[in-house]
Amino acid sequence: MGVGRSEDQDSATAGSTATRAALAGADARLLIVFCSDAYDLPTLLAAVRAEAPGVPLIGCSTAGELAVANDEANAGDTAVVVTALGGAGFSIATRHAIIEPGDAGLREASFQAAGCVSDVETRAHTVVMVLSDGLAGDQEEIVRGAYRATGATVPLVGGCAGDDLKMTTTFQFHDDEVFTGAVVAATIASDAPLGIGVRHGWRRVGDPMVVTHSDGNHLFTLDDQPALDTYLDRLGGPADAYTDPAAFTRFALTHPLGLSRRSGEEVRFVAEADFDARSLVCIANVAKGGLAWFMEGDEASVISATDDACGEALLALGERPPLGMIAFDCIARRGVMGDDGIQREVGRLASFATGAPVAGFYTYGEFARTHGTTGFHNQTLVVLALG
Amino acid sequence: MSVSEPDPTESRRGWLSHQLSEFLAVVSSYPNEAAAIERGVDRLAEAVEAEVAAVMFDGQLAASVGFRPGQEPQDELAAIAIGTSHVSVTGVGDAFALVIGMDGDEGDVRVVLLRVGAPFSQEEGILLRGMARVLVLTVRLLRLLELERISRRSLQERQELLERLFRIQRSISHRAPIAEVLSAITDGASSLLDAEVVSLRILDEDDPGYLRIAASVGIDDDTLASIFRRPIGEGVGGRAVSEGRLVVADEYEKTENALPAFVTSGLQTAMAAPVYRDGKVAGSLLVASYDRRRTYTPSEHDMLLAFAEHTSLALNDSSAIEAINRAYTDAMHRATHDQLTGLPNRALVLDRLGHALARRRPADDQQLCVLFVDLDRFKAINDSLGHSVGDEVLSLVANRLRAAVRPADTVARLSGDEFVVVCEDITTAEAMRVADRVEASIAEPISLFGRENVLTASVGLAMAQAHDVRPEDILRDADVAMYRAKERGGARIEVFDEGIRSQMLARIEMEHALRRALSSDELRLHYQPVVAADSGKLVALEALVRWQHPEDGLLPPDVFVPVAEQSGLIVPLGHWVIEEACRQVAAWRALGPDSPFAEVRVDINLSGRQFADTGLLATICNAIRRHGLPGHAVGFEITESVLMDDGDSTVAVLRGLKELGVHLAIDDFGTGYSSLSYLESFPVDTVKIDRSFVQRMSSSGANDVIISAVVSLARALGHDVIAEGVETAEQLEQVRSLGCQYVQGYYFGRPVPARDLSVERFAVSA
Repeated sequence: MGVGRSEDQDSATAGSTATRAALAGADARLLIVFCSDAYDLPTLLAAVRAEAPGVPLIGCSTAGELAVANDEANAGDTAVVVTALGGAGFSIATRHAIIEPGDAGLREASFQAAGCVSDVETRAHTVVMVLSDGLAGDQEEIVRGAYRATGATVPLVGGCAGDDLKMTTTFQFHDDEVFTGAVVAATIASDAPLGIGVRHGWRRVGDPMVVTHSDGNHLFTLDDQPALDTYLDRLGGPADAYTDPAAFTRFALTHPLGLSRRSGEEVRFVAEADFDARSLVCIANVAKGGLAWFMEGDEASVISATDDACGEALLALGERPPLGMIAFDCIARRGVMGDDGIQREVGRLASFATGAPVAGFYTYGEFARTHGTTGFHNQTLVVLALG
Repeated sequence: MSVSEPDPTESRRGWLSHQLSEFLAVVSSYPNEAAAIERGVDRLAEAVEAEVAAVMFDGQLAASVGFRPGQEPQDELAAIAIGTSHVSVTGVGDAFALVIGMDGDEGDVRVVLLRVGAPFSQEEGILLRGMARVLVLTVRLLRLLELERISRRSLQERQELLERLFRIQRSISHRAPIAEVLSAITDGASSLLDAEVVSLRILDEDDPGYLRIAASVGIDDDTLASIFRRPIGEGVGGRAVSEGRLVVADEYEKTENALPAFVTSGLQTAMAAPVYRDGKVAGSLLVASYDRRRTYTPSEHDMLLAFAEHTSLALNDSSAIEAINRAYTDAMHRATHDQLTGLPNRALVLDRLGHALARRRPADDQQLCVLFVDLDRFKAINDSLGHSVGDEVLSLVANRLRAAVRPADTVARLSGDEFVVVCEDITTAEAMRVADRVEASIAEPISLFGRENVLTASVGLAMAQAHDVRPEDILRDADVAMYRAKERGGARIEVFDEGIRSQMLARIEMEHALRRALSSDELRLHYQPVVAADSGKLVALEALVRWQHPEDGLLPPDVFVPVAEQSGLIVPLGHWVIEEACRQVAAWRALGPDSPFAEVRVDINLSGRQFADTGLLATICNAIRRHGLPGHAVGFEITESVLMDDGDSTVAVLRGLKELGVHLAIDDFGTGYSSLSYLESFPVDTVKIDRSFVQRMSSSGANDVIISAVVSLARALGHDVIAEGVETAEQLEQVRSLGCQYVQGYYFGRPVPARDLSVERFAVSA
């Protein structure tokens, strides 16, 4: 696996520079491109493909890129990071599908894209990587659709494309094409083991509460009290967060909700406040009747989650050193760490990679399914380690 | 009240029932069997974080999740379905298995779940059994629907069953008092299984050799006293406990260990299903009938099992049993009377109605009558003067009603401001007189805070029909008639007739079809241009919803929007309209600066019911953001009546919309309150003058004066004016000369699909 990164402002130069650096290793079977949507994306993709004609490509726009390559660890904005996956021990297949309007659109598109799992010969270890349009609707449906295609034996990783926090349009790439409102997927079948680590790094604040009234992603009451007031009061939110939507969102970015699950807890990003209904709007479903906690994090807890996620991913490789790692890191974690903190985080990733390259991006939602059927995460780091 | 340490059992109970009700909502929203089962297995697996869920009919795999398409290990699953708890399966590996078996019209149905790493708990077993039962019932009902070509009866049955189960789940998840939950179960079983008698018996805490009655329907006090506590194994319900299975008795008196009191009272048939607590049999739910011809079909067996499983869900909480033992007697009394007014409540009035119906003699012209009385605008009193004043008013109304009816009549309070009067042995003419007295007594002035107030009521009157056998039927008829009185402005009496009944049935059918329309993309948007009166330049397109009905063709909104409003479907329908309109306007705006649509705005109609949806603002905000639109690319139209109905919360939503930068218009101005003064208090940009004024313009000078007055006031307040319904060049000239800046109507184009809007037509002249 090779990783190349470029900050060049010219789209074609950035694309070819990063790709040339990534291709330095063995013959490439798959290219993965993470980049800012500030680039002219068709031009950038054409430059990438010109360096490696005919090699399948998937990728997406991001809310920040991270890379460890050639002894340099970088995290920040407006760059392009290209990963080249190759060598004899891999088989690759890729697909894309457009999300059609209607209830079943996300699920069907994801099922079609993840159907690339049937396009390759099975090897001992297989994973499907999915990149989706995080602004296109309920991302739990992406996991449902992909699971229909992969079945229980093949795990799922990936993330939702970003647009540098403009929250308007995200892009997905497949070969030469740039899409909006699409799902792209790659099956990576490997003779060597693959490891997946998932951690969020938030800690519980105060006592648990019961979700007494909710509807879809709208959370109205906790312990029969208005959710918004309970949230701000218990967490000691700043005064302006009680009235100002922007101040609220800044605060909420680092104070998610934790939901009780049979196998642990699931983190929900609080997206906005409804000041009239005194309620909270979350990024995904909040089931009524469940137990919930408020959570908070700081740089130390987020970094320690990075260590744990890397550790978990590397565990599956046994004694074998990693060929490389791919990270899907939530934009909210970046919010906690700040610009200096993310340099420290990518430094941690580099130390776990022990000389191997790392590529990743800041996402609008993460995918990791290793057991059960669900696997859409918020405010979480997902690490895929290739052995 | 803040709960710092929630009782985990309580919360699990809420969680379980929430899962069940969400599951029911998911599977019942699919119009065909394959889709319902496929989505059903997804949710079964998700509910317990299992890797695999599969449904098998007679050993054949109907649907599964967890395997790649075409790689489902049919034979292995069939073997697991026959039973082993720890298995190794191709494509999964070592896993724990849970198998749920059901017998019914479909033959042998088995649901298999596989989970790696952790065995299934008893609680999960209860949840999955409930979900599996709901899935099978849904499949059966879907098959029935197909077989009977969507006959009205099956539709109603399906609707009723789903509604009952929903209500029970809701009362469990809202942690309603246990007595309320149990009576929802027994009432539901009674009404859906046509059972005159229902009893729920549970093990006596003090002596587990005995069963005690925890809730019942249709058992008189004497009988109740003699069967209240009986040894396990006695009676059909007792046998369901001792044998741990469904027991059906087609001839009650000949059945083994029949209860003598039931034999004496003439019970003919009965069936009972066991209910479980912590995985062990803890009691039974029995339904029975006095009708010798009554038999129970396999689908009715399943219905009873579904109710029994919901009972298990309610009992799966340690405090429930204690609460039953402690409070049953009190609850019996409280359960039949309204605390505030002391009047009989819904349960008791239904019971009395049931007896009255049973006593009827067919040839008699002395009949049974029900008046459904609902106070007009009571909510306004409650909201403006507070609940304690509201309660005082209700007590006063209760006294007046008691004084207005005949001594033998029953006055009951159903809920809120709904009252019912039951009159036996009465002619239609007499019933009308009672209704008149009820109206008059309520209209007597009431003094509140030193001010005289006059209340009015909408009254629905229904005489028992020959085919009415259930109390709910006649109560529903009176309710529907009351609703008609409300629709016609309130303060009046409406008598139920066949016309109202058929309208009601048509409405139920329409509602079902509309639900399907929403899930299968049958809705369309058409767009009608709004142009500048002087230049003819296109400024906006009003989005108007249409229904592409698979059989009846393209339907206009007046056919289905009223049904959507009444059923609450207007909320998802409205979401769809908002999403689709935003998508379309984004597509137009992407055409580039040379297109006449580059700066166009899309206007979307919002109804009053949508304002009651607290998620409205978030929906709109998300749609606008998702499609990357500036706020001014979208407009919303609201009728006057919406503004008047619920002032404060509406204003809050309108302010929120204004903050997004969207355009707001008052629609159909002149047809409602037409109060110009309130225009000032709402943050609207534009007033749309109703078409009726424009169309009557040439014939009546009075309309010109009204339009001219509206225009000058609106402009003084800084609002624009759109004249609707402009059909001729002459009308255009007139409204322009009266000062309307914008116009809309057939003269400029009918509503058409987006693709049929002609670009040339709206090209800006140089």
